[in-house]
Amino acid sequence: MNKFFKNLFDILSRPFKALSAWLQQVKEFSWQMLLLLTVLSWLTALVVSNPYVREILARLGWIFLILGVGWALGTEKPFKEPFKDPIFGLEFRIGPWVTGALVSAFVFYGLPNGLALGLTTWPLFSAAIALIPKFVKHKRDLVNPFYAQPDEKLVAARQNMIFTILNSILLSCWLQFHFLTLSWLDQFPSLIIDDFSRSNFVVKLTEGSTTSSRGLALLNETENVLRRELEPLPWPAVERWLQNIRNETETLKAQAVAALPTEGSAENQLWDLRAEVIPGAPLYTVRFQSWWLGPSSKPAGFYAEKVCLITRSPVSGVTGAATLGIPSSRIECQPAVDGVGVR
Amino acid sequence: MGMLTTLQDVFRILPLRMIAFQVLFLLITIAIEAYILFRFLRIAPQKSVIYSTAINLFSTVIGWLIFLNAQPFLPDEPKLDLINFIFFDRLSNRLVSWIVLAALITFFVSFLVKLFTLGQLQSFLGEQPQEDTPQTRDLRYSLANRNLRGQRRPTRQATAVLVGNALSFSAISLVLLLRIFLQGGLVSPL
Repeated sequence: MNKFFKNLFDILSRPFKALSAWLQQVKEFSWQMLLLLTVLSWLTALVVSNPYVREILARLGWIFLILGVGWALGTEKPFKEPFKDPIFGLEFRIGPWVTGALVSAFVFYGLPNGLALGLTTWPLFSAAIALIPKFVKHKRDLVNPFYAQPDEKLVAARQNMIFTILNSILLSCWLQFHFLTLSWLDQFPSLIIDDFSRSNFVVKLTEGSTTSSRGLALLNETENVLRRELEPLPWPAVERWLQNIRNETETLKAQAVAALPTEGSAENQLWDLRAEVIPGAPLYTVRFQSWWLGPSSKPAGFYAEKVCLITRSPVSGVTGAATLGIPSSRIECQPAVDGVGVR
Repeated sequence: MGMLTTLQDVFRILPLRMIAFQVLFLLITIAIEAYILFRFLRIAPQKSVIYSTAINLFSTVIGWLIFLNAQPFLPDEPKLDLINFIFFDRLSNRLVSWIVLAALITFFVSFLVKLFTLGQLQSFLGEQPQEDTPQTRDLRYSLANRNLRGQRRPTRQATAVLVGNALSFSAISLVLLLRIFLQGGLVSPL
């Protein structure tokens, strides 16, 4: 019995012994120590209850992590040797990119627009980190324009520096352009449902559903406004209103738009509400269309439409019906559908 | 910029085509201008590629920074035109005028930027200024070499950069025309 427990204890304590042996051989001034400090900071942050101290410890832990990872990836064997390109002497190491990403995340995490800011500055941080060893080696001479006769090593280092900086700024500009196009999609959400195949700049990766079109929402709200407006009116007034419907679309649209969500409201002025009574159809069949007048792949824009049938309610002739609040018109609307833009 | 709520939002559209076009145009331009530098200024091939790449990257970056900083100030109508062009390849007449104007300005400004950068780069990267010994002077004035070699160095450099710029702009215009042709012509304008 005793032997069993002794064996069990041996087996269980083996990882702890290995850990303590390893801990003892970590040098004080090394990247392993920095990573250990990270773990320590974060563990302490978990335990502490004061939110300010916790925040400071978490941030401190991040800083240790960045320094440790940067150091490790800069000096350890598999990462130290760069992938050199023969023409420009460009050296590519994975270290600065990882460390740069960590710095970006650390600086911009949680801020509004943090993802965009972080991604666009990530190449810049990486370039700066990649240039640190060069600066350490050559000090100020690297950028000193008055240094008369730079030798070959300095020239190579300067070349490397120029290309590193230029490439990173270019990448950052590309990322900024990407976020610019995304901001346009946020301002005008209905664009996503359109056809991007002719674009020379972007490729569409997700299909927007047509139900996200603001035009459909506008038509649905118009129906609500219609009911609100026509219900209290007696039938002759309704008829007059319907015959004059072309002039009523402005007010209809203004009221319908007020009920739409504010996100994407920059689009409101680009949607045109049109209404007409369809001739030859049973009275009164009204066709509502919302036309998109903004940027579009189709020359005439695209539209959504809703057809409503407004008839005299059978109870309208009965006296006393009005006082009971029964509407004199009956409104039946079909669901709004996408139309196909025609030239 | 709007609120990006999820990582999904980031991948709705990607500017892959723009990146492809830009890399293509840069390669063409760098090749052409490197060759011109090599022929006109007698710079070694490797160094001329390096110079050409550096000045072209630099002028591209300057162009991007100008565009990205100017576009927030675009009024509503031109902004919608721009969105129409970038997303759906549709040109309005107004946009065409702006594009033509921009192309002209870009040509001259990029020429000046490239010329200035080339000069700075040469001294920064330690290129020895050419000594004017009696032999090289005779060489310069010999009849056979009169046209180009008779010029003094700064003028020769300006000529080289100007010619290189003109040729690379023409090459890019050809590529764009080819693209329009392959796409089946321009879409009917707004």
